[in-house]
Amino acid sequence: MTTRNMTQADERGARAPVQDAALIIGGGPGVSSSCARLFAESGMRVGVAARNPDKPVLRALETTHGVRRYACDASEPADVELLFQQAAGDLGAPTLVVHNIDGRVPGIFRKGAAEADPAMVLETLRNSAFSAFLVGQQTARLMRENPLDANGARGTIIFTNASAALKGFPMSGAFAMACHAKSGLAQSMARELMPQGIHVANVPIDAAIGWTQDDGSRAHRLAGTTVDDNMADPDRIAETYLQLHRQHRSTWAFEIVLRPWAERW
Amino acid sequence: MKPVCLVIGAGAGIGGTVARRFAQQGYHAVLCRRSDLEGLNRLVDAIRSEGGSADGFLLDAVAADSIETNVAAIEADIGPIEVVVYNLGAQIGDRALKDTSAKAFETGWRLATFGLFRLASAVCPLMEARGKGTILVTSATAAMRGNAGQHSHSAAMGGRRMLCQTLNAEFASKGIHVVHIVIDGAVDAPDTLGKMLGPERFQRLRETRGNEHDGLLLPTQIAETYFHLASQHRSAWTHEIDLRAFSDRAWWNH
Repeated sequence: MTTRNMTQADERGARAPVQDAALIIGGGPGVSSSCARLFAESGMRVGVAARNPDKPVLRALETTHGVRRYACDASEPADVELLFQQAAGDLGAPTLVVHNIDGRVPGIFRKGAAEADPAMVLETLRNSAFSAFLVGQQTARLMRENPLDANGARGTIIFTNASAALKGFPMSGAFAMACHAKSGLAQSMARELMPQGIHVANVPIDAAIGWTQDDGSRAHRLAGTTVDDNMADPDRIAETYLQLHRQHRSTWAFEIVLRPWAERW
Repeated sequence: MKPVCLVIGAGAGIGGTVARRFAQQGYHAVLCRRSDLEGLNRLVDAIRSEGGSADGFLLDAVAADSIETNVAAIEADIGPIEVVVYNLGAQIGDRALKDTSAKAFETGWRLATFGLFRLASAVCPLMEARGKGTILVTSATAAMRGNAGQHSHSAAMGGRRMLCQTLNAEFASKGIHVVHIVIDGAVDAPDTLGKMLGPERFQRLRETRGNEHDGLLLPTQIAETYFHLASQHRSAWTHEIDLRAFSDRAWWNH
């Protein structure tokens, strides 16, 4: 304990300004795009990784905000390792990592316990919780080498999570497993890595997320169009992610649930 | 007229620092505490000296009508209360059941739970009529977990946590943002922890865990998160947040 504290005290005197490098894993039009824009506007170098990095929304981020795009199947260990190597080479070692993968395969939605296809359940778990582990592992390996920034941190990893992390909904066993697993991983990593200077946060979004559509409205695929801010706005979610990253190490939040004011829960 | 940020429990730690942070952002800070008029004036003067606007009142949250009268007077004389910070602690140190008097238990509940109920009863109708407001409630490890010796504190803070949830259930959709903030660790606060430990032990704690070690929560950093919470857009509010030092054990892992 004493040795660790002395090391921190020594390093603290020699803190250099750190240019943030943000890596967002899982890329779509919602939280990941909002984060990429806000992080880039805040002076960070930003990369987004997705299975298909050629989606128009990701191409647009490259054009408007200089965001680098990476192809990566985050459920494959070798892919994730390569991603972090490439991103570290292009952007610098990441200081902010966001794992933003839902992971459900299309066929698993609304399947009861008796009906769910075991192969799809496993695939959902691989896509979400297992990929979160892989991303967490690479983050731990790279970030522990980072110097301490002005807040006394080596970096931040944020896991986007969902209502299913808080309660198991009917007809949604695979996703409940995946989200609870992600919470458990985040908690365990927080306990291990926060004393080493890596801020770990779990952020269940307890709501439908309505992202801005081509016509300017905010809408969700199933929940319809946003009325009176009744859906989470990904731009506003990104603001809280940034605040989490900027917290001083004397005062770190681990879990923060975000929901719209009018949401029932 | 500036919007008012009312802080109940404004010592030199979280309360006073949060008041100052909101004053820096253009709020009129109203600082209330039970005793130590001199200390209260120092906090108010410090805010004014950096160009902020602030007032201070002595307020005994256990006394009848104290909270209600102050809320009414502030609304009438100063401005609309947009943000309320309920920051009264009820920590009395670890005491075995046989050493916990009924009086201590009841006082803990009056400070931690009933005071918040009275405050909410006074401000919620005003905030509801205006369609907006923020109630930031400082809470503690004891709200999440009943550790040994914490009979009074845990029961009181557990009640505070549930009250925050029921307030949120009734008032969030009316525009009032209620946040239960779990301060899960020791705070570098001279008026609370400092007085409980005494100057020597507090200084030793600062030297071993605080200062450059960042192992004590710093009020200035806590204030940053309080202000962020009050600034959250209503499409993405949080109701509960846990804060602790990077090196500290979390409540679920004691």
